[in-house]
Amino acid sequence: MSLDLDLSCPACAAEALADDEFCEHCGTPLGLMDDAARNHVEVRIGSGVGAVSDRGLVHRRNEDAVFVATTGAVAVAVVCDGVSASAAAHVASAVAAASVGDALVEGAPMSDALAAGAATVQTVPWMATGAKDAPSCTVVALRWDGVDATIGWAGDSRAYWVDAGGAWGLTIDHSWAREQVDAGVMTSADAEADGRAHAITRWLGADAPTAEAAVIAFRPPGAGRIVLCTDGLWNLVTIDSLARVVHDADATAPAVAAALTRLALARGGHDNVTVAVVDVPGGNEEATT
Amino acid sequence: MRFAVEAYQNEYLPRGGTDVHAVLTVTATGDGADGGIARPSAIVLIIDSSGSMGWDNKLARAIEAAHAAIDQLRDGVMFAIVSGSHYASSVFPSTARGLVASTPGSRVAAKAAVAQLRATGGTAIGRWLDDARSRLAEHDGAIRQAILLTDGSDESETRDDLEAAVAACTGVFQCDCRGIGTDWRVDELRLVASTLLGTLDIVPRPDDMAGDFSAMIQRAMGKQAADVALRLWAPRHARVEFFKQVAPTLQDLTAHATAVDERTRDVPTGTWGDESRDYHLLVVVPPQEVGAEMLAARVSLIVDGAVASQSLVRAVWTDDLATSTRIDPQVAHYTGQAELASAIADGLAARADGDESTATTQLGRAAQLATETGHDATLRLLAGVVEIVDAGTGTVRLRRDVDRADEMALETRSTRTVRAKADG
Repeated sequence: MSLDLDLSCPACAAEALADDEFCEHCGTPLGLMDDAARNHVEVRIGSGVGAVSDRGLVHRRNEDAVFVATTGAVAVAVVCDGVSASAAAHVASAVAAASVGDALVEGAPMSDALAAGAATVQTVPWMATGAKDAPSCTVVALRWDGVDATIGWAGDSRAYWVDAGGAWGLTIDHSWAREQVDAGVMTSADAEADGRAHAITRWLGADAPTAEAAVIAFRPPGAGRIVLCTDGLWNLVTIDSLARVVHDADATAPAVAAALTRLALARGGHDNVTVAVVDVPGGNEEATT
Repeated sequence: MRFAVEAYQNEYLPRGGTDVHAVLTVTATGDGADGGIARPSAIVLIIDSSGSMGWDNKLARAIEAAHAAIDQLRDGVMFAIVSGSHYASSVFPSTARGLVASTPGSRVAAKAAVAQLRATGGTAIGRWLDDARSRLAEHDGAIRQAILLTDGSDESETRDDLEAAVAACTGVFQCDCRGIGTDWRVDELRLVASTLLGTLDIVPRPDDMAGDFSAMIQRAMGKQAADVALRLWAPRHARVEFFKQVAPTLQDLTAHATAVDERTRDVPTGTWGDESRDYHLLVVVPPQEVGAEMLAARVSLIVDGAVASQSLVRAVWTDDLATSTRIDPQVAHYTGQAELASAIADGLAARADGDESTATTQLGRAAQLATETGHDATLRLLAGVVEIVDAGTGTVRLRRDVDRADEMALETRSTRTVRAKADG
């Protein structure tokens, strides 16, 4: 996947903005809502890396984006979720996933890759009308080099480690609910019940708060899988279900990604659903104790 | 786990004598092959994340130490990590309350969560303890322990709040405390550690923390017996004047005793691994005629409600002065150790009050006692606070520029004792 942001009008070739529904020059509909190619995307690299991004059952378009690549022993995966209150959210997520992914494939450190993604999102042309915020998206990215894993994120897209012992969240949501709980203002139950619970407090975009990138590194303790996903998945699939589906030794990583997506759709699919699964083979025994 | 208690004393009292001293050595030995079911462990790690932890890299070092501790957790140990500021928040597990079983995956996730700690807010140690208590309370069958790290004084709550929280945790879990830097207060952490039957130490150099934390976790997981109490019986008209733990650390347990009946009281001792501890008992009995004998005390070990071992403390009145004036070597040794600890405490208090002559006398006496009893570690710590001119005569000069960390290390560690060398 690469950055080919062509926003020109198919009829007159005039330049368009990412959030234009019609060509400002000739009035031709730009098909903003009909990006059918993104309605259901499946990517697989061998049996060890797989990703699915699906429009879901309710939304008109898929504003999530996914990037996966391998080079040598290195696997890279990036999942982005366009912020629906922002303009051209689908473009923001697409360019962010591609630029963060490209940077990681080229060997950039995680924080630099996230910064590259943030810079790219800020270049998306849009019309500031006050109706929408600047183009924005969440991101969660993984670089796995066969020994160590590095994960960076902004917003409420998540990473999990899954092995025989269960599924464990590795990221902490940059969300209103989480911040209330962390600040000791509310209990987890009260915060989750609040209408603002899922409002995110960090993202990639021109109006994003400046904050140190959230990056963690860890050495997987043995065989398992790393799962990246948007809230369209984790809102509908409990961590126990996730553990059960992902820890199916007979299923390949792409099959697991597809199974997780089907599960989210079966449970309502009220949001776009995106998931990337990367296998961590065993044989990393020195790290198990 | 097998327990044995043994009494060391000179049972002979002179005519009219009333004070019966005894040192009791309690030894616990692991069952090894004959096995019993290992008791599960439940551990809460409490890390101070108040604003001041952001200075001097303290939080970064605390995170490394927590990572080292998490790496030591055996599979199946129930654990949680709490960060503390003016409130307590759950670091791991991230949303749920309670504890999580240690697995390779949960350890990875716990380390990831700890790595995201940020330093902000105040310090309310009582609330941290409340949080740990609510998690550990659900695991009655387990050996329950907490490890608490702080760098500051308990500024965001009152002393009453802290005392109430500590009281509520008594009997629920044991708590080891570590102070990092020099802004925490020895008396506050001593209250927590001594009431909750844990250890207390200063981490003067943050680099040392990872090793210390790993060792604490190892020790915590080595504990096999919980709810061990020493039951003291003394006859009618006799009075238990004091009951102190004297090794490995000095701690007066007299006030910790709870009455079982008129003549019997239980002193909780917390959890035990493979280890040995010494206690010093003083019972004051009514004097009897020469030639009379009485049982001055019976000391029983109560493990999970049953008597595991017991030992007798006797009194015999005699006119043979050579016999009655001999002091049992164990009793003499620990009397000296107690005197050493109180000389240090009094000397440091006088120094803080600006009473230089008392400070010089007491710290000089401490240097003398430390030398006599071979307490080299204490002697080294003393040398940071006073210039030792002649340890033999207790001649010292107060130092002008004392490193606060040295002074706090001396204050914190003054209650550590060395074992008596001979076996009685």
